[in-house]
Amino acid sequence: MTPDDQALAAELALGVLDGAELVAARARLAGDRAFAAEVARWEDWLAPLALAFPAVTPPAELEARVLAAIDTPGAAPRAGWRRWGAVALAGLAAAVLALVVGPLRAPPPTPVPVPARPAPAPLLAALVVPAGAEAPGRAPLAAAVDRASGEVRIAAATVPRGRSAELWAIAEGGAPVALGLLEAGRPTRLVVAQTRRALLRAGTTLAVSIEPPGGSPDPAPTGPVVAAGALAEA
Amino acid sequence: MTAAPPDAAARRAELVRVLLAVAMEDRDAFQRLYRLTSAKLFGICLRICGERQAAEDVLQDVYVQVWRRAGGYEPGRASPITWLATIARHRAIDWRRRQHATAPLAEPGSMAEPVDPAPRADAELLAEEERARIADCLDALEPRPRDAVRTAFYDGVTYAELAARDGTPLGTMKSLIRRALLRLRECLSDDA
Repeated sequence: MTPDDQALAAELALGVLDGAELVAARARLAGDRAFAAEVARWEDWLAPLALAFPAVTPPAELEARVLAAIDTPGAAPRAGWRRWGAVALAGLAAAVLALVVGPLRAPPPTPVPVPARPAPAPLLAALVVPAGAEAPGRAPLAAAVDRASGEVRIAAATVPRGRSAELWAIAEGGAPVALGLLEAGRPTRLVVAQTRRALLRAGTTLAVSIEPPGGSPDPAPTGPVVAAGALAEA
Repeated sequence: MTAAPPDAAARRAELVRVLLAVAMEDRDAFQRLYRLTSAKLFGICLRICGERQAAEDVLQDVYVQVWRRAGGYEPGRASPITWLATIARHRAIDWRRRQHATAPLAEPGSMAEPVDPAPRADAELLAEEERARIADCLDALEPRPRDAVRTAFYDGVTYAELAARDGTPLGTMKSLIRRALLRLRECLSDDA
């Protein structure tokens, strides 16, 4: 781990990064265990500062609200979240998204279930090739998430012969969670299991890693992360 | 190094047990977890969000996330309250970022205002040495980088906002903080 890596891990834990730097650092987090351990070390060092804030008892009715919330699997975020407005997508991510979101709109022949009620705003992410991972065939990928149905759509990706491309979701401060494999050379639609849908939210990083056929044998990516980006409200 | 008082060790062990039960989707354990930790986490949300309604929404969101991710807690790695505090802080910062995406930046120079002196963390939940380490290492930094790191942490702001507040070029702010972080790291890993 170089001093630059150590500084990057610290910057990520401190929360000072944004835009392309943040995307690249989160991609490292998904694919590089030593880096992830360094970030975790920093989180542990820094957390006592937050714990030094005076404790404040929340209003009594909040407990019932919280307990009700965990009884609603895959519940959409409270209406309040929407009112807070759209996330400002980093300039780079927005530009990439504008370039690549087009092809995604051409629907593959598979019929898609149409939600019966007005759906929450879709989440979009521009998955960019992390710095240092550039290679022929690797290109930015657009991803769109329908929160109502838990469906994730990813633009067509090039997958090396004899390998699988696996999609991961990484909540902030969390470990990567496998969402499924990408189709080679054509758009992919994945429906995320009900129990994992809480991951499909603004701020979660989506990452694609190259894995042995059938996907990573481990709970975490084993191969290089070839594209990564954070979800944001459309 | 001062060891955690027996009381703190017992509280910590209880929290670990409760979190592991929550990971098994034990609803009663989840309620217990909420009662043991919500005041601490609400304090964090309130401090970073700066408004009650938002802090309540963020706190709810934190516990829903904890319910769904308790399996990700590794007992050997961090103290449970550290793990929870990190989740709360990041969720509160997320909220702040969404707010500030549309709101104007703070007035330049506001960083010069005094930041909170490091208050004492909750003695019941966190071992003394964990609290003392970061406080002492921060104190060992020069005032300017120290205040910048503190502002970044307490206010959850990015390099860009730090630079704008301080009226400093972005590159200068980045190297100031990076140097400070590397120095902090030396100090923090020293007696680890």
